[in-house]
Amino acid sequence: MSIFFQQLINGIILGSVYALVALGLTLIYGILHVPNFAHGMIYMLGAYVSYFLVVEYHLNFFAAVGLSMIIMAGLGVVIERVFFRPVQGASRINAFIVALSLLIILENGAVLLWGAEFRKFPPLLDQQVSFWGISITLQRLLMTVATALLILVLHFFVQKTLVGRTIRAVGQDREAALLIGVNPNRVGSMVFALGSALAAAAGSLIGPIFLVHPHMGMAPLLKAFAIIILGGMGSIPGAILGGLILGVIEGLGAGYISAAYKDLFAFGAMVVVLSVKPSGLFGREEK
Amino acid sequence: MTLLRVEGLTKYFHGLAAVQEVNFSIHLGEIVGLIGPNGAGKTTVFNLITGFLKPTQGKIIFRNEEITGLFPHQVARKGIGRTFQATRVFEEETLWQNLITGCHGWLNSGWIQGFLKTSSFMKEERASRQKAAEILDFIGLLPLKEERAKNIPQYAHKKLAIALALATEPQVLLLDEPFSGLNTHEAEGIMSLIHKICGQGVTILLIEHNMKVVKNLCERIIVLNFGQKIAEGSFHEISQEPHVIEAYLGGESVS
Repeated sequence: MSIFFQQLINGIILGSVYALVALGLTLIYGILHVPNFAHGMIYMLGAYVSYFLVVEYHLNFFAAVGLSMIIMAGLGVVIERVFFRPVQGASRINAFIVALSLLIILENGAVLLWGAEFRKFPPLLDQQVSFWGISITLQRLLMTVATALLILVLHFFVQKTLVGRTIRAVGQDREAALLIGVNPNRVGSMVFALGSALAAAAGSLIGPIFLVHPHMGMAPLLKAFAIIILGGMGSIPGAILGGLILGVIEGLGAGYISAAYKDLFAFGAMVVVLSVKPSGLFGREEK
Repeated sequence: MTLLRVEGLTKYFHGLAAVQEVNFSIHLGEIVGLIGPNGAGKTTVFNLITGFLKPTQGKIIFRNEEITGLFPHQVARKGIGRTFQATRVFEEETLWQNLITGCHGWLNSGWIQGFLKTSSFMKEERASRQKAAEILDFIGLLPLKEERAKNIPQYAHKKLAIALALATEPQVLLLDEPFSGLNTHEAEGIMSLIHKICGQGVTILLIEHNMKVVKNLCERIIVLNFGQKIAEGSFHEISQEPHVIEAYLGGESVS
């Protein structure tokens, strides 16, 4: 039984990071209908920024994560303004190509700037916590708490605040939002800032567990796309639940069958869900 | 007093004129009908006025200020509200949330104040809640306020779209076929609602096909055909115009 709980916990930890990446992606897709392939690169850049802040500037880890989120939010705003806004209203394929180009530019830019080598955060909080026969490092525990906190803050922000209300308004009906005087460009910047900050948080929080390198963004990007398709494009609860489901399936699959097949389980689950409910778990049926 | 004026309004789509050299004025407190056969350019005129399309040529002047080329959200903030032929509301939200969002679309206090819940923000928040309740009551949708927009019948849906347009406190309301798809009884309900809105000092410009409705409702009528204005005047006047009889009514006389 303890292997079950151990793998369940591992799955939840992994899943919460997936959820964080997927949230940003689904938010941007839901509002601007842009498949933002560059999202995984923001995750990677966010991890690098945190890494340098911790290693070069000896900043506290959580302060570094916060600062990295702010910097990446700024980069997100610039990316929206410079690359995505001009192609808005053009054919969908244009935004698609822009996003793909950005992915390649940012990933190779990172290789050029920092080299392809793997970097390791200095160990932090690596003592073990044990309960109910499960043991995890304190760092993983804190990471999960931080992730849950970020998800809660985002939920509060979108559901309860005025800006959240305008974001939801544009997501539901762009024309109706225009009619009541909502500035869609401001909402676009806001959503890119939020999404990029979440991606930076995910990359920074996972950095000390895995390694930091220029290609670290690809796997979570693919997973996040799988999750938002699984959860329903543009759906926030779908992204959270989808992330956790994917994480748990991976965790249990790795524990009971083989870690080598974990991606197979994850994407297999996606295919099964979509064949039963084509719009995803929380997706709205297309009218 | 002239509230809204279009001068030489022209819109080309790929070399084809959808709207050509259209001039008209709307005066304060009027109910004006914009009619014409399918494809006459009526909705295009609405889209040009509200900034959803940019005119190829011509000017739009609202309260002595040129608003040509502004973005839709800016036009809405200036005081021009509109509805679409296919109603555009926030389907996933309740009627109450729809109106709150509508009243809130742009507040004076910024979002940081909203996050910190400053006193000026809270004051605006209270004001917008009160306004939302007033509008729902005015429109007659207060009993349905907890229903999600996607679950209410078509008639209520049409009213909700009008309510949402009123949330921005427009001085002119542009209604695109507010009666389409309604039965006689429901159409009468919308008609009395339009009179009621006009009674509150809101000027109305509406697109309509039903001649009986236009005859009863509109003080003045503008007739478009192939993107050009072919007549303007009272129902009696335009129904005498040979152009109108020929173009719009297929050669038969109107009465």
